[in-house]
Amino acid sequence: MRNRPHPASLAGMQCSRLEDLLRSAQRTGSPHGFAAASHARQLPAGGGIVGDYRPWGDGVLDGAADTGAVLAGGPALRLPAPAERRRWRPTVIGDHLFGADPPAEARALALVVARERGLTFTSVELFALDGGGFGHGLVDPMPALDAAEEVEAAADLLARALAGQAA
Amino acid sequence: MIVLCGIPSEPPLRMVADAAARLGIEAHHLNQRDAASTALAIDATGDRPAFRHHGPDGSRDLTAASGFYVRLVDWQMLPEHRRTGGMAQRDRQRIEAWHGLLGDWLETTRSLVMNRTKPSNSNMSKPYQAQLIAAAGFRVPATIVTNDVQTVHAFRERHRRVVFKSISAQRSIVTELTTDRLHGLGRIRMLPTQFQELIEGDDVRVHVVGSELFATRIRSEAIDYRYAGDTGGRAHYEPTALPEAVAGRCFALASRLDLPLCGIDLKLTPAGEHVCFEVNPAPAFSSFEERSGQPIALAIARALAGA
Repeated sequence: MRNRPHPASLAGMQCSRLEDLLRSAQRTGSPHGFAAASHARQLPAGGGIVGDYRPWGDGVLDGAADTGAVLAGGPALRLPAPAERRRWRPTVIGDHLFGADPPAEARALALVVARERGLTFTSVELFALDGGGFGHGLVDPMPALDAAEEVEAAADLLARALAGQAA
Repeated sequence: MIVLCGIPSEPPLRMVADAAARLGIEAHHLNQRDAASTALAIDATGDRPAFRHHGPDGSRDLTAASGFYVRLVDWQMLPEHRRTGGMAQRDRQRIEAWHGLLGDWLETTRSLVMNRTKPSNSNMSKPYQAQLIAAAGFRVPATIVTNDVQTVHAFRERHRRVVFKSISAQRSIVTELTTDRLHGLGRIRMLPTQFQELIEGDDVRVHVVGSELFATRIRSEAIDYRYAGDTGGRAHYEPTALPEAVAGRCFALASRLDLPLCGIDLKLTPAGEHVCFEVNPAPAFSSFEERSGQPIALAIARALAGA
């Protein structure tokens, strides 16, 4: 297992769903993702995207913001009605996904994201983008194991890691 | 354009701003003290994001900034917020949004950032960081972290002279565990403490700035030269040159830690060996530049501008 603890964990730094959204938008060039990541920071703590990601449509700055006027909560975005999106939250264990069966492109994205973070055991929030393609949300380095096959796969991965160390 | 994040009057930030002005580089301030009266936002043009700073003077697109210099402090510790003992809920939300979005941008932008938060966190645990330092080829002092008094006695017996210091990034005064301090050793039972063999020699602070390096030698009788004045001692700072292999190791270490700007603390032993203590991811280089005359701020401004 390569989910090594990091000093930041002890210092109270947590993984950020909002930063992950922006990272996903950067990766896919999704205007919806940019708008969502920006707008999420303007909402009161505990509300909106922190608890429930909604892939808003194109974010358009209000005219008032264009003039430089300061608005409460930040520059306002006109938000179209939220659309239903396909979403998945698979658990990644080694090179395999469990608990959800997203399309191949989304599966590949989950594996790439986990690999980039140096995580062999994680869960990745995936969703379909408006213009095609997929984005990711929170990358959780401490996922709950809900199914027997996940526990078995995690145990296998640990056993192989221990055998590798012993060798 | 470069972006300076923090309090503009803080010495390192002020010196980089001055250096940028001397070099003819445009510098835009993201002043934490304006967080309640300005706003940051990201919007998109096609598939490209635009990171904008909105304020009373208009809107500024920071997307094309070549570099960000980050000297952010915990905004809740700013005197104006501590003094008032509370603020309007709306102001608090605005300030939190400002810092949150800035943090998101700094962690994800492709521009040069000195430094991002996540890599900086290696300094949160000195024993953790010491392992990375050793992996980069430096000798690190023999170290224990313990709350067991007998273990400390045995460690001191083995190394004869021992110092103690904080385990985390929390600043502490490095102090020698002399015989007259042993009576207080029992207090560590409630607080595991880091003890290290005392390395004799002169301190050398190395500032790595992108592809440039500045080494400053500090001659002082004090165990912790930063506080030499408190004990009636003195500290003399002078530019020095590092052996090529040691300089290469410093660059490799900065790269391994993903810190394009850092302050590496070395000790030059009487035998000529460079031993490494730690790497500071947010070095207050200003005090070294003022005392040694080394042009560190100019190097930072140049690196941020990609010049």
